[in-house]
Amino acid sequence: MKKYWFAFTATIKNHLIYPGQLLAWSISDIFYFAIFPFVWLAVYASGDQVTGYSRLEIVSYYIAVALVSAISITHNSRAIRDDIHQGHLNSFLARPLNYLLYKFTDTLGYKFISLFIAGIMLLSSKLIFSSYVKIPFSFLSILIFIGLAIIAFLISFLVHSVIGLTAFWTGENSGIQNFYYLIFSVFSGGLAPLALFPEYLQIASNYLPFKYLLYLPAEAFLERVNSVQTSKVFAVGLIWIIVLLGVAILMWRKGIKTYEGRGI
Amino acid sequence: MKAGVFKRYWKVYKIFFANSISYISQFKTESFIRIFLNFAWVLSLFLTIEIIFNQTQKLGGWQKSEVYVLMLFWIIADEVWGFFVGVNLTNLSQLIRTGELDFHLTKPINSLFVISTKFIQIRSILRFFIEIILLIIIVIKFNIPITTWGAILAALLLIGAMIILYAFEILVNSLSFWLIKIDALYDLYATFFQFGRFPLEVFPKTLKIIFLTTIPIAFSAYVPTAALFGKWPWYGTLYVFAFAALSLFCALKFWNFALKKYSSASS
Repeated sequence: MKKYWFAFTATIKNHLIYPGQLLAWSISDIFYFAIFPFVWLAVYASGDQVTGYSRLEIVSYYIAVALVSAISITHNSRAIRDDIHQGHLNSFLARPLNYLLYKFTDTLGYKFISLFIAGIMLLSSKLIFSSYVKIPFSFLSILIFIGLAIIAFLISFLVHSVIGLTAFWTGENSGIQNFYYLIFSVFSGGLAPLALFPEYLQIASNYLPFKYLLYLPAEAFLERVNSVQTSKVFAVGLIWIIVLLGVAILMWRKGIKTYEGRGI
Repeated sequence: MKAGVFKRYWKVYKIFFANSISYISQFKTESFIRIFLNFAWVLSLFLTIEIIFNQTQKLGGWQKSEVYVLMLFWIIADEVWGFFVGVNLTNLSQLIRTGELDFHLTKPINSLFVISTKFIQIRSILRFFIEIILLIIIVIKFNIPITTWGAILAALLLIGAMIILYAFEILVNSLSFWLIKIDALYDLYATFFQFGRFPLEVFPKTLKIIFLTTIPIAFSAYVPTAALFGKWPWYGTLYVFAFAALSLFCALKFWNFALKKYSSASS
């Protein structure tokens, strides 16, 4: 475990070399979602209501989405693709470590820093816009939110790993990555709460893992996931993790046999 | 500019164009996939409009049809930008880091011209036409009355917007001469541009002022669309062109100043 702990701490140290860059990236991630509260507040200002969401809830929804995006959403597919495509994988294969586990601890290190930035962001939003921000109060709600944020992180990491590992066969896979980002933007709940989507898209989202990435943790943050739903939500989330983990391991085992090791 | 000089620049531009065509023809399948994905992305933006207008009749005083046109103007402006400048200036920090800028500085042609136009995004042309067709469909579907004068004014304001964007792109990227690595700063600058796809009226007054001055995101879509629908005052048009001229002048001055600070990494 020591070598993976080293990967974790090394990532943190690497990112802290350029704190300005890290801060700018985190702000970029968060600001993307800052547009929508203004849009929905304009809807309320015109005298209309947003179905099923109060003014406070709809603004808090996007704050929760930004928070989950910062702490749980990963982008590891590009790094995996580059490792395979450019032959950086060679150096990992020569070391006594599990590549995917190494990538996991590396990603975890980056998210560990993001957690602090997201925490500061949440506290400042609550202090500056207190009447617009709802924070979960009950211990159970906080636990459910943390649990779903962890599931979101694991699903995001595994989906990105699967996408990254396609580079074993495709080489350049930016088309697949862009397709994923498109599907993610629609079905994760980043554009709007899925409850506001047309019914056919809501049904489709039930058969995909993407609502676990932003929508469900954000709903938990708003204390809108009740105890009856919770066990089902967690059970299905865990099934997705097991399925994606299986796919990633299978792809790694098959892919490594086709790997030509560019640069050796 | 003398005719001979213009001819020389045109000749160089044609070479860049031919190189870009040659580059893209190596990745035909990838290009078609990207065009398809772009079309799907446009549909996802339309979905956002539908979701919002499912809850309201007007957004900041704008009707659904007007927001559709605004969104398409935002996308079309991005394609125009992608075609003429695109990612070229963004590569400046890398050129400085690697010392490759030396190659551009030693050529008998304006270095800013070469850096800004070296790679032309041919895909933007194809996407531009698809999006223009979508715009025509939207105009017909919603029966949007468009006057010739409104369309000409919108096109002129789009040119003004491109000049402003170019000036700010020079200003931001010129910081690479001091900061060396500005990817994150550029990402932050690009994120703000997402705000440009909604009517300016939905944002607080302070943000409106910022978006029309220091972070000029309102010019490429909001201003031309507002002019098209008669929501943009005549003095606003004068402001756009004055602001475009002033920002380009300042950007070129800053570029020349920054260039003097360049110490090559390779020679």
